[in-house]
Amino acid sequence: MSNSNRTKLLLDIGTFLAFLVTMDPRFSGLAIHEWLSLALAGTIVVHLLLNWEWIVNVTKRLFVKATNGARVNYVLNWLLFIDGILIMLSGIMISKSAMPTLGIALPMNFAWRRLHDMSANIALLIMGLHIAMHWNWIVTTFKRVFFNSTKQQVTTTAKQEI
Amino acid sequence: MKILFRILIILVVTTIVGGLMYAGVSAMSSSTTNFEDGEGRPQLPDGAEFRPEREEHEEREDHGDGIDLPGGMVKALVLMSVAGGIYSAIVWAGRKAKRTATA
Repeated sequence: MSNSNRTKLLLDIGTFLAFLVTMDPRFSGLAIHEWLSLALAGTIVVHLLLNWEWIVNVTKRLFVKATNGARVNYVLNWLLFIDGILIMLSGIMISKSAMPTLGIALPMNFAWRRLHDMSANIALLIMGLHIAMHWNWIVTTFKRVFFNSTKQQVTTTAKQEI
Repeated sequence: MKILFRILIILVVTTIVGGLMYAGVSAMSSSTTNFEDGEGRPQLPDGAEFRPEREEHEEREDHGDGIDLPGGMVKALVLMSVAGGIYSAIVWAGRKAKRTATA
């Protein structure tokens, strides 16, 4: 089990849980919703950096050798990225907690509010597809990280006890 | 150095896409709200604060009694599951059709 896959999985699980919390501002409170969303932007940058080789490889062979699955995945990832930017931008424009705390005053606009809601709903659908496309990787890596390591730890502990 | 360069690329792409969106929304807003004062544009009374729509409705719900379920999270999980389920069904049907064709 490579460290890279372990890091990717743990980061993705954390990002997913944070994403779920941010999807319910009434439950978490507006301040947590806004600050957690800003932090999520950072984790998404790390997610992109960890998968940089895949992005570069598919971009290079997108119109030549890539499989249809890889092409769909690539387009979907771009849509998710663009939608993520729209969520962040509209969220910043209607911010009532994070931006005022940072001393930034932005003009209010109805359009940003509607765009924020709409782009968040679209993100849920794209995120569902994104997870479904990577489901095999998630399950395989999850089993390796959480079950193999547990077995190894148990074996090591048993040996130490003997 | 390589990582910094990659971060820079991500930030540049984000800025370009975000800038285009901002310009688009600003252009649309200015074309739809280009009113002269008193020409039909809703006027706020003196001292009144601008409040985005839906907020009063949301606040009213916040004051309700009962257990506060994380409805947004449930909605998110349901929508993601539906999208993922539809995708999986399409992939499964495609594979089945291929198998049937080759058999």
